Amino acid sequence: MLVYAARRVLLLVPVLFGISVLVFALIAVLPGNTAQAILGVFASPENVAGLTSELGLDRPLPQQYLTWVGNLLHGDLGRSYVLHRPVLDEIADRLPPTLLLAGTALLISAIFGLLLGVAAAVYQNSWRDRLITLAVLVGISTPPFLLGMLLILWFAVSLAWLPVGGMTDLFGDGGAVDVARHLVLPSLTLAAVAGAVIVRLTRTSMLEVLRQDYIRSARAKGLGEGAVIFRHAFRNALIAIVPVVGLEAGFVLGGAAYIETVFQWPGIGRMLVNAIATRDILLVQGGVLVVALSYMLINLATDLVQAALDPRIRVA
Amino acid sequence: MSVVDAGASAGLIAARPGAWRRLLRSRLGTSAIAVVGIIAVIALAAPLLPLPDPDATNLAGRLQPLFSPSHVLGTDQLGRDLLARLIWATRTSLSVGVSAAAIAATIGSAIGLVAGYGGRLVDGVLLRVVDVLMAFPYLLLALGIVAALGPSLVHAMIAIVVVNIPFFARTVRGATLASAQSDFVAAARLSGRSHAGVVAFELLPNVMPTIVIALAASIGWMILETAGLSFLGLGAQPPEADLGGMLGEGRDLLPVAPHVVAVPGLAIFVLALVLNLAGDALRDVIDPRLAHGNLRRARAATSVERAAPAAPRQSDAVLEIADLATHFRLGASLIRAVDGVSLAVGAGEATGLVGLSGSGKSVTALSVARLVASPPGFIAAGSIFHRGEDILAASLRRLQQLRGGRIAYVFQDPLAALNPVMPVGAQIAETIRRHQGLGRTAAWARAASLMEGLRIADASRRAFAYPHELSGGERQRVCIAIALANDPDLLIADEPTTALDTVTQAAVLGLLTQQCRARGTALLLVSHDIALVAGLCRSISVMHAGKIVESGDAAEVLVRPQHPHTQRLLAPAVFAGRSREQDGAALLKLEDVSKTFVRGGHRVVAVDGVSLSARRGKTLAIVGESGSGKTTLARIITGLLVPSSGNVWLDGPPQRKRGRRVQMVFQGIAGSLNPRKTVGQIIATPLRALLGLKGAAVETRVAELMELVGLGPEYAQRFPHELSGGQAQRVGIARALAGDPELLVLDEPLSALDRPLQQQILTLLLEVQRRLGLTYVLVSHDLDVVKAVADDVAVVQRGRVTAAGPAAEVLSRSAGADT
Repeated sequence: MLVYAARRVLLLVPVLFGISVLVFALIAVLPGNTAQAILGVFASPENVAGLTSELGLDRPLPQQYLTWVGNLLHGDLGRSYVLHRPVLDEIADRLPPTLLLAGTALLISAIFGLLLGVAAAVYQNSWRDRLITLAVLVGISTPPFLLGMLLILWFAVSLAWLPVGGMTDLFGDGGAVDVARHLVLPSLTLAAVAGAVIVRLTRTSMLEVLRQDYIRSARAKGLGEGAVIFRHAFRNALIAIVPVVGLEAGFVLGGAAYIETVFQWPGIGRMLVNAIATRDILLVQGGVLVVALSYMLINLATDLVQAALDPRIRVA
Repeated sequence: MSVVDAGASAGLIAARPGAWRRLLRSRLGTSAIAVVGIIAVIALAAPLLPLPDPDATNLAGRLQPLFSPSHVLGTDQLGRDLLARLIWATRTSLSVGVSAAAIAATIGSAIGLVAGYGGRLVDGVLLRVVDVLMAFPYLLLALGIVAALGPSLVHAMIAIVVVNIPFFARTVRGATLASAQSDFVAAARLSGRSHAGVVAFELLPNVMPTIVIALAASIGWMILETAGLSFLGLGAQPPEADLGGMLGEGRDLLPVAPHVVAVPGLAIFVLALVLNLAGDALRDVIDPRLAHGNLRRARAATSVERAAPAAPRQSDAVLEIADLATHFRLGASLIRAVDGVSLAVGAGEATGLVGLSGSGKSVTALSVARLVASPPGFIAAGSIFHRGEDILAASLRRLQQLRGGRIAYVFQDPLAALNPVMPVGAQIAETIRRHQGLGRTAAWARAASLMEGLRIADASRRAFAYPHELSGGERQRVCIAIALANDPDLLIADEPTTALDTVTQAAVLGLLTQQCRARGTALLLVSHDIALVAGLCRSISVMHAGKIVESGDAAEVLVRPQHPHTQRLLAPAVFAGRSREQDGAALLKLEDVSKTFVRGGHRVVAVDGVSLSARRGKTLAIVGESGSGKTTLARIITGLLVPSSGNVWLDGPPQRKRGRRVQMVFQGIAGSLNPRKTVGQIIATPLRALLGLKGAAVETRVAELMELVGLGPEYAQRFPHELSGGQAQRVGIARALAGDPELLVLDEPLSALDRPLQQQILTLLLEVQRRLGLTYVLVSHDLDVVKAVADDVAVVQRGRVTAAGPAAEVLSRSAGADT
């Protein structure tokens, strides 16, 4: 297992390289003058020339890339010329709320997704299965931003149970209770779609496993249905489900852009949307990079969990 | 062998209605497709409809409610007519979603096809690129792309296309890889297809269903994703709006004028819903295995639907089956897999149940502990008694006590029968704890001692091993340990050694019978091998087509079989051969041929300095065990593989492209015929590609070839899955002959067939050889076949030729040692 983990970590190196090249390319492929794009149309020619030499934009691309990576390793992601502060500082403020939101959403979707998926498979073709299948269909057909708006309308505006949004600071005066109250609607919204996908896959995966020969063996031993379904079937089904939970982690991280916008959540998603609107290119670049790195680590984690579940992967 | 055996699955195919009928039967699916159609028509007709200008603002009439006199759906914050805007926005969303899906599917599928067929290097490079794209959460990547290109609808679409390409590339690559290694691809190459031809005409039809399913599944979400970007203001720019853009513009009005949000919101939800429903329906039609009702979960016990319960009886027999009928419901048809079987096993006795695959013997065996998958199976009539207790009337609780406790099973394929993620010791201990109530430690110790009793070396350590870490023989010993763990009265072994090699077979069978005898456990041995069963059992029952056709004392049945079916099972493995003359010049010569593969970083020498020759008009047999390199050798002779070193000579000078002069009949019958082509198309391929025939000439020649191999003209329109094993092999032979070859390589041409069929195909092959004067290279491990047809024999072991020469000489010399 340790060998597998070590090899898996080593495999991150090419992925890291790929991510950095692609994120770097975000700026390199910009049409027109890059420094002008960063500073905005009203920047003076002197400032543009200054930034051009500062970023080394007049040098060949490979050299620019190396400079950029070098700065990156020193924690320098450049400055936001819209917010007038270092990109890294802005991201350091914005990342924790996003991780909290995405993590909560993923947890909710995984728990309900697995439970409902197993139930749908076990009670296949019964009314329970049909109800769950219908809910899944509604879940994957509802755009998350629409669901978010509906939840706001019902629970925040009509019923006034929960705040409309507008969380400002994780560590503000309200304390944990205030954060939790703000967290309910956006995390449920994100979890609905991700959870629907997990339910669907869990159901199929369980049905696939339940027709394997070893399930018949388990029954031939005289085991009760509980042991057959959980000890034998579910553990095997999880092997196929875990990577999809990883994929959904990607969905909640990216989907945060909508949800944070709808709920005014002070995370990276909203920061990115604003940065794109204000053409704050360096901030976009930093945000994309940091979220991609988080996603990479989550994928590493799901790979390791999968290997822990499946001895056949460990040796390979 | 799954529960539904060969006969049953043949019935399943016959019972399956056509794709369109299946689609029409799904009412939900057809309604969804109809709604998609209506929406598409309205969207397309938008310019023709009598609608107000969707962009005409009228601030005086802003935010009019639903059902206003001149605005059915009201107006938005700028007083624009919502109905007009909705229809135009749907038009935009739909066209962007459909084009994005089509472009992403085309590019992604092309990448997937090339990667899947292109071999390690191409695959590796393409896969790395795709992996980097997949390292990003896809919405984030889309945001990044839009950030770089700037907000606009076209840029949003480009972003959605790029982030969805990996999905198609991955999916299609997987499907391609599965097909690219099939024999039908090798066969197509031999039939004269170029690489591009293979991809376009052989592989694409096979992965097309996958592409269509992926496409149908993704249009819905691509529309949602594009809408999402527009919602954020990064897609469609005002005044133009797609559905997401309408939602985004109305967002702040939600508490004041909810209809401005509700109208596009409902539209986008309905659009995504019907697209998803239509996609599911399409998938169910194309890939019925995944259809909602088809992947049926079997209940804990086979359901019993007999008219009346059996009368109780006093009996000491551990098993008495009376008039058992087990049927399968597949669609509208009923398959009577077991139809009136009676059988008894006395305490401590060994009884054999013999029959060919599809005879119903496995279903009979599984019926005993009600392990037949249900649905679709059910017990329709009869009774099964265990020591006088009617199992068919037992509660599930009682059944679970009997299973593994009194009645235990050993199945055919131990790798499939063991849970892959559980140590084998735990799998043995589990049944001990269940039935003997021992603690964890005690059960584990008992498991290890059972393994030791079954001669698994170092048992207490190996108990922690997972199934994949054991050899085939060890795995089956573990299964036997599980079965014997609670000293059952009856052990039912269903083809327990069929998945093992010959040497292991004998050892495992010996252990099984010896252990049963030592414990006084009765054995019901189910097998297709009548000679093997007769050697181990006192009495034998022979099954055919769901019925017992003969039963009695083993020696008696063996010596004086009464039923013609039993006689056929016993038919001595002697084939009608032919006279042999000792002349003929060499047509094929191999000189010091070697082939090395790189597998997982290791060099594997599959063929190591082989020299041999085949005489014109004669049959050279290459004999060897599996893994000896004989199949690699066969593929080198056909030119499918290029040797790492050495020369292959065909009648004189070295031939790089042996083209139509050498053809091959493949081992995997089903695998060598493209499942998406008709018999006529398969045989026509070499006629067109190698001989350049066209039009009516092709049809005439196809008919001649089919007649030559004994297939009626009506088979030309059939697909491979509609053929029996023997018919499929006839098609394979016809295709090989179509290219007008001089030499035919026959790679285990009979091994997938039953004995009576083997004789027929062999006779056909000999007849063809005589009439056309062909040279054969026969690759086989079956010495009976080799004896019947070979003029010359070469024995291959670990990639080297260890003996070669005239058949009679080589076979008699190695008779003792090698076989």
